[in-house]
Amino acid sequence: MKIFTYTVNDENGIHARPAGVLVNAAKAFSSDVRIKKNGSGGGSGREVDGKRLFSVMSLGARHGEQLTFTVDGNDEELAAQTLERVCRDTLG
Amino acid sequence: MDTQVRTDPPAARGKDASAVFHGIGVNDGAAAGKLKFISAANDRQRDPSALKFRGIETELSAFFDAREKARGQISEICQKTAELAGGDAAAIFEIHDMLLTDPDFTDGIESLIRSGVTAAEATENVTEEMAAVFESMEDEYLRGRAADMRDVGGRVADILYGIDRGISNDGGKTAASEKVIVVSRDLTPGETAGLDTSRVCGIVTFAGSLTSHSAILARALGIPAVVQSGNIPVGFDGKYAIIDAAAGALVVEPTANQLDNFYEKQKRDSERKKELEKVRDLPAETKNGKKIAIFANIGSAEEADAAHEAGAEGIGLFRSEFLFLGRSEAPSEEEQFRAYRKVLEIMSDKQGPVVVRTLDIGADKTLPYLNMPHEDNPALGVRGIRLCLQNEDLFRTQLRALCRASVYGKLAVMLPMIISADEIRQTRRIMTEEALKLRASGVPVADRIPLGIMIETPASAVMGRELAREADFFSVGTNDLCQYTFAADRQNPDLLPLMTGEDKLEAVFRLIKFAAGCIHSEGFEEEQNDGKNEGNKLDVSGSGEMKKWIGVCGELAADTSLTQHFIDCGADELSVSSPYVLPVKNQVRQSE
Repeated sequence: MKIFTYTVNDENGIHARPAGVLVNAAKAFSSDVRIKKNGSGGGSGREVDGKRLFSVMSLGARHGEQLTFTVDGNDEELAAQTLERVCRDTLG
Repeated sequence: MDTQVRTDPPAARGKDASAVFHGIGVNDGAAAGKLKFISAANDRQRDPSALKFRGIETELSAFFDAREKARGQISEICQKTAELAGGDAAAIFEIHDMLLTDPDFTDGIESLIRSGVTAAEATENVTEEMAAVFESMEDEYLRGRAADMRDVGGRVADILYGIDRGISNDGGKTAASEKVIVVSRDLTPGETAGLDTSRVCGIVTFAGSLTSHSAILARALGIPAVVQSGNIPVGFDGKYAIIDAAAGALVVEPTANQLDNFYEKQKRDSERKKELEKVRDLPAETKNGKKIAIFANIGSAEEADAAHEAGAEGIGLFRSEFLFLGRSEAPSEEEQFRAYRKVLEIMSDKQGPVVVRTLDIGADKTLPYLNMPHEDNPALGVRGIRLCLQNEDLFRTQLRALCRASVYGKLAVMLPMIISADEIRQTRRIMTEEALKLRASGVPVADRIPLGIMIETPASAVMGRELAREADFFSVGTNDLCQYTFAADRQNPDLLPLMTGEDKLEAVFRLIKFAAGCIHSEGFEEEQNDGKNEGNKLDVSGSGEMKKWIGVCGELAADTSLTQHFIDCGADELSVSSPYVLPVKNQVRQSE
């Protein structure tokens, strides 16, 4: 199991398009991807399936909020690395 | 869609009478065609009781078939929108497709079907549940996605209910070559993009606004459109009608006389339009070779596209107050920054600047979230720059957003209701402070942000010499300058004759001429830089070797009978709403 955290850097938060990019990246791997929103804002503490667009959008992750990714499965190493890069490069 | 006639047209109407509906015209132009009602998401006729549960497997495959059909439609719409409006506008449809294939959507529907609910009803229920989740979110942007959810889920549900949504398949009621005027409560982005623009000659929405998706597309495509028409009975579906966007009117079953007038007007319009298109790529230059910049006035970032399209060489007036009106709290710095940046980016390939007028509130415009004490005479009260300087936090936020946006294009800032040089100095000080703070924290700010003022009080014109030393440019707000010069309320129609016509306006022309002389004689002086600013590379004070200029951005600038007068006064720039860009340019070319 691989775990990493990411603090949302995009001024608009994870809105529709970035969520789509993230979900598409997660879907490319067989490992389970869970995303949890930390902190105290709305939707915090909830953990969702990172391969479901609606679930990821419903986290309502905003600028400055921290997300914890848990990746578990055969290709978890590569999946975690890829997702971390997608977060950093594509989501800002 | 359901083509059944639900409401009969008023029975008393004879053959030579017509029904007229008034709304707000989105653009100019007129067209005639058959009315085509498109049922919007909230008044579509779905009847769950008409469908029977046909067994789990049948319902499941019906759902997946309908979903694939919907995805096919969305893919078409996506391509079409990308062609019409570019990839960014089409991006939302990729998300639409992902929502339709999202396990949250399909699993929810599948489990409802397995519990004995029809595919149509299950789709409707899950769509509504998901839309409700979006609606309950804190983030304004994500709340707006509820409409997208209803758009895509509704598309699948409609297919299952056998309701036709688009115009491409209307059961043969209108022949394929016939022109139609689309009528709807409001159009969703999907519905708008799905319109067959080769057949749609007009758009009428009961609700909607000038900035709604359909209005923006109508402007971009040059389709005459009227919003806020009020309810139009569906019984008029298929009836012949005339849409006159310039007058904001829809005339259903026009009389012979009205039709004649329409055809005549249309002939004139198309000849005029052809004539005007010829000047699009020609310089805005008088017969004597004087160049006049033709810019556009806008009230929202969305309108910048239309301005660009209309051939404006810059934005002469971005009324930033529209970002502040009609809401319960002031827009954040972030939101403002994004709006300013968007306009700058849209206009980045043009030569002229984007002139953003700082918050101009007071008089007839009030903000619920500002403490604005009652004034007996608000037109002479705390408005424009006065209000900004009294609410410095609000003003600082706006200036900070502007400084941040300044690196994305040629930004200029303009102050409303100026009467003294001191007001410009105070603003420049605040703006410099904010710019320096931003730079200190690593945020880039343009080296030079020209700061100009509105000439809309007699004092500002008369004090032109002093103000020209502080300001980088002048722009005449004719509405207020007339009202304050003639001491005549512009909202009072009885007083309009006092300030209408070139003879009556002489007092205003003299003020403009004087102000123009002042700013032009300042223009060639050396930059007044005390050297202190150079160390931090911040210069919001000078416009370098650029000549200082004066423009006219009020309503009168669009009046082509006055163009020669403004040129004679010394105007370097005329800023008008987008539809007037070419007519005014054409007039300039005929002036001396």
